[in-house]
Amino acid sequence: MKTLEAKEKKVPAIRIDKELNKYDNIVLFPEKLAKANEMLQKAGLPKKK
Amino acid sequence: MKLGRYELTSAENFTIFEFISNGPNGKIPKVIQFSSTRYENVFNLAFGDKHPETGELDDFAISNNKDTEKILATVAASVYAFSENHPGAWVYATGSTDARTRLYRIGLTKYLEEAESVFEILGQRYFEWEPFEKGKNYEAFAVKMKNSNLEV
Repeated sequence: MKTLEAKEKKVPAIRIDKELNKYDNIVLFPEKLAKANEMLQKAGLPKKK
Repeated sequence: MKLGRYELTSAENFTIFEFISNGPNGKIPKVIQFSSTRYENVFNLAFGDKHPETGELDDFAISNNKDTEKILATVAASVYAFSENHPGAWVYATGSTDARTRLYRIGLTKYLEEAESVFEILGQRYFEWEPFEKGKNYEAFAVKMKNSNLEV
C-alpha cells in the first residue's frame, strides 16, 4: 500500500470555496500559459523515452 | 518527512487554489491555477501573488516572506489534490524566471523519493523529455499521478 499511503499523507484537507468557481473559464496567468504552449510545441507532449 | 504548508482553499473543480503566505512581510494572498494547454490532458501550473486590494495577479512578485519551502510544499499539495481529481492529467510546470525553475528543481530533488512513489516525473531538457534526475538542469517539468491500481 506504499503508493496509497504516500498519497493519503500528501493530499491535504482542502476547504472548498464556491466563490473561486468564478475563475473556472478564466486564464489568470496568460503569459505563463502561452509560454507553456510554446515550449510544449517544441518539446512535444510529456512522455517517457 | 513532514513539511509545514499553508491551508488551501479550492474551487469545486480543483483547478484554482488560494492560500495566504504569512511571514515578516505580512500576509500575502497567493493563487495557484491549473490551466488547460492546447494539448489534451496537459495542464499548466502557474502561481503568483494576488494583490489584497485590487485582486491583480503577479507571477513575478518576490515577496521575501521567508517561507519558500512552505510555499513549495503548499503548491506541491495542490498538485496532489488536482491530480487526485483529474486522473491521467499531466501537470506541466516551468518557472516564470530561470531562478524559479531552479527552485522547482531543488524542491523536486529534495523530496524526489517520496514524490516518485506517487508521480511519474519528467524533466524537459533541450526540448526533449527524460526521466527527472538529480543534478541536472531542466527547462520545465511534467508530473502525472501514477495509476494506483498498478502501483499498490
